[in-house]
Amino acid sequence: MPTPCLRVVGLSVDYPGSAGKVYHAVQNVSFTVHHGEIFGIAGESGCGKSSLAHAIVRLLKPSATVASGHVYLDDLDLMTLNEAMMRSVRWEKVAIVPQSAMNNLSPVLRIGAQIVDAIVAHESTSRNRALDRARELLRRVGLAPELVASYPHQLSGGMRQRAVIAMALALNPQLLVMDEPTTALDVVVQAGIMHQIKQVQREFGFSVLVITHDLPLLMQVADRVGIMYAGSFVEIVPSPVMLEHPRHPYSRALMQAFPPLLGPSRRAPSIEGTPPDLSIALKGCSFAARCPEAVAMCGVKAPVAMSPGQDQLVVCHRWEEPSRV
Amino acid sequence: MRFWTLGPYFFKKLMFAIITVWLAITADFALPRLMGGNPALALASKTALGSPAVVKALERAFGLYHTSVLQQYGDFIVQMLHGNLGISYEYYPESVTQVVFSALPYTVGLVLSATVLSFLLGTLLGVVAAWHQGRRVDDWSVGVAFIFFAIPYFWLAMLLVYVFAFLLGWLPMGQALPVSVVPLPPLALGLGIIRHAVLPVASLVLATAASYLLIMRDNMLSVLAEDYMMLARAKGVPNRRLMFRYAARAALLPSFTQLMLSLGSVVGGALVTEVVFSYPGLGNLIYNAILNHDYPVIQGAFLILALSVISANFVADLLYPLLDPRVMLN
Repeated sequence: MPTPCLRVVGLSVDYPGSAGKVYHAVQNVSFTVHHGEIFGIAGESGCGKSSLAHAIVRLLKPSATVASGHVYLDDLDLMTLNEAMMRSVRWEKVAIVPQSAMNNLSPVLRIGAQIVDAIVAHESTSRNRALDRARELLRRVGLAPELVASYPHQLSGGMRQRAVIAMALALNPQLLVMDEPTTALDVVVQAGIMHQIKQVQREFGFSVLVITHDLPLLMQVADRVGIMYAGSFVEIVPSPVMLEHPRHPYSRALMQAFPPLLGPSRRAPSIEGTPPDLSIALKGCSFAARCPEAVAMCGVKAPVAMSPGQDQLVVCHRWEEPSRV
Repeated sequence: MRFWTLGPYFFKKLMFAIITVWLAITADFALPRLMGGNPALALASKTALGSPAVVKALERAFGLYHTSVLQQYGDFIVQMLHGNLGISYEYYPESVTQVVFSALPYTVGLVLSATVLSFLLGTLLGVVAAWHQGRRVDDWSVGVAFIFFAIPYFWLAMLLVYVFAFLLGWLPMGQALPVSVVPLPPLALGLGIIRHAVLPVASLVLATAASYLLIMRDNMLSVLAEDYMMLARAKGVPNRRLMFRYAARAALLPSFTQLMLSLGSVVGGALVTEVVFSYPGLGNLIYNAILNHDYPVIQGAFLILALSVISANFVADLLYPLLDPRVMLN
């Protein structure tokens, strides 16, 4: 089997809380992203998906700490690199597109200059030649090359986020981490950007890790999706499997929470209750309190991660029972 | 933003400046006339026992000859455009223009250098303090800034004179030029002027740098927390460029506005400084003119002050779009 593009092993992220509490935002997470694969992570707010993304590129807020774990990019363990080495690996091998579409670009610098800055920070090339590359990058994400001379305020939110994606692709990274890249944009623009990413990705063959709370959108572009709940994955399956028969009750509930586009309208069922307090160690399954299918065992014994197929994962006591709804 | 795209913006700001100048001139004309009294009579009674002939002659000289206010207003503007601001009562028969322009260079030199130095020092410290937030350089610069911010200015100025001029004798206690019976060679004269300016400039810098520091630090901190700073750091931009091009550049606008506002008051802003250091500038002149009811001089100084505030604002308006491209939007 070839080396995966990204291999995360036992990664945990902690945030300090008040009165000496520690919030375990990411709990012992392991997964892989293959070369040329689009891997999607979905989950509700506070499930740790953004912390996971930022921990991978080592851009967590200063208060957060990586309690344990390794992040391998090919064979390179990012967690062992010093700050200077990480600085050069970031963008050359792994780039990030952060959440805020409206505020990702400096308001006082031209789009071109901001892309050029990324290039010249890593390569010894002239700013002029880098600017030519910036034009090409803009064209690649569906923007007019002339926009290098524009300021961010002259662009719409969708165009800005495309420019940020162009910036992320500047050094041909093998992995692109996107933390809710289309949140705060309208649905038409969202779909346009996601399909553009997929198209560019097919053309250049890099891997993508997309994080979002928009599961239907994610399944349109991702090859595999992972569902996160309370700091860990509850299920990882290829998108078609998730669409047809999600195995984990939380995945199912999440899928049903989105109204269908076709057919009679219905009230989308919500998932009752709230996620558990991440500062307290749970005895059983983290979803047990909200799970409509929980049995006595779920509250006392934590389920073990099972692998129903290659590169798949499900963490539920009852995953094999076929008769469930 | 390129300059050639500034056309309509430039025109709008220019019209605004011209209208403001006109309003200032009108106010300048109206103010002394609203105070009532007849300066010609006052001066004649002081110097010529109130002789009616002298009063008439003086009225003619002061431009109060015509009875119509409108006529006087027209004369006032015409004379002003010819550079004639009237005749000083106190320094009679010297013209206001002569009196004001002999004092102006001292004030401009003094306050301009103090303002620019203070802006550079305060802003740079603000950038560095914000960049190292919570560390020693931040604590110290903010702490010291607050101390100088809190000290009453006149007391600080007097303290400097006492310590550096009186106790240590390193620098002169007042005046702008070395005292000498023979004309000094240019180099010695220049050095003398600088020596005389050190204390007043230092007092102004110490008193005003704090506000630049605090404004810049505050703005820097909010810019540093912006998402685009995280992304710029992530893409590998070197620290120095991050600090100045990305952060300081975006945080500079409020400090720049403050600089431009204080540049406007360069001319009249150093009254206390000039009084404490007996510096023969415009501030001292205004101070004495007020004490001696020398209305034409006050009028002339007010005009210069208004013109410099307006032109500083105009220049600032022209520079804004270069600093922050978003300004062009409104």
